[in-house]
Amino acid sequence: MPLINHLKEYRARFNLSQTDLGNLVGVSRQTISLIERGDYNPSVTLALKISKTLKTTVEELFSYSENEDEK
Amino acid sequence: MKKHPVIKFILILVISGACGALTSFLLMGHESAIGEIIKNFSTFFGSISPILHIGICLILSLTAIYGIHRMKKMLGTLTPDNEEEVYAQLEKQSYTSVIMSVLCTIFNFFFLGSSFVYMLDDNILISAAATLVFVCVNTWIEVTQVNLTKKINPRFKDADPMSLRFMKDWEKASDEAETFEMYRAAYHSFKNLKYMFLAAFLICCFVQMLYPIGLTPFILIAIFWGIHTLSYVFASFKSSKTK
Repeated sequence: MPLINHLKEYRARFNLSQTDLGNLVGVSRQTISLIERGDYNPSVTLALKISKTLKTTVEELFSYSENEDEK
Repeated sequence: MKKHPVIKFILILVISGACGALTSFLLMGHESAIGEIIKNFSTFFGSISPILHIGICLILSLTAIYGIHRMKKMLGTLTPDNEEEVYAQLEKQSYTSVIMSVLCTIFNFFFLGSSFVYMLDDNILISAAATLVFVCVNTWIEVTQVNLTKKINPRFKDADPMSLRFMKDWEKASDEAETFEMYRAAYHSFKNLKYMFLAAFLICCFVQMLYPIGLTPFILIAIFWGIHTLSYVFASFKSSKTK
């Protein structure tokens, strides 16, 4: 999975549970869990919503690495 | 190998041919004996069918009920500190219960159908009664499971498992990741089923050589295969038109 995310760290900074974050951005706890595990790449809308809630940018939360793809 | 699909295809053909030739050689001259074994097994199966029906469905139902009981217990231990861990365990347990419940439904109808093959009045009556009981038990299991899922995920609170629109409401209430997972699972199932139909045809051809099973299995497989493929094509056509 070439998309690296720092969602878990940012969520911990705000002391939010997966359920809390899910409720804030309008998705289920499972979706947050899938994104954190790297099993699901969120849509642009959801990525923007999450970054806005966590007061950061999409680039800070998610980064794309070509090297990871080559592995 | 990934880059050479032709080589892969030829290799599969050669291996399949070799396996077929070997099986034919081993079975040569034993056709009547194998036919007799199948016939004896069939008669034996017919006589114990109601016992198998009740036994298998009871074990599967009880396993599903135990799973639900465990899920309820797990939900009771939920605290803000352990919720991620508990939810992960709940999801795992939910999958097991769903599989058991679905298997029970399949076996239930399989044994009911098989009881009609042998036309033994008592067996038909027992199987019909057992089917009715297990259908009720399975409905209860499914409704309880859906209600538990609703407790875990309140987004689905409007989906009523007893309603005819349940599947539609469930899909509507799902968010983007859940919908994606649902569609991915559906595609995997479509892909696997395509191979299963082919395998079923081959198995029927093979069995027909040893024991007369008639035209019915071939017709049924062809119909189901057709419906399966056409429904996929129509759904993707409809989806592309909507976009």
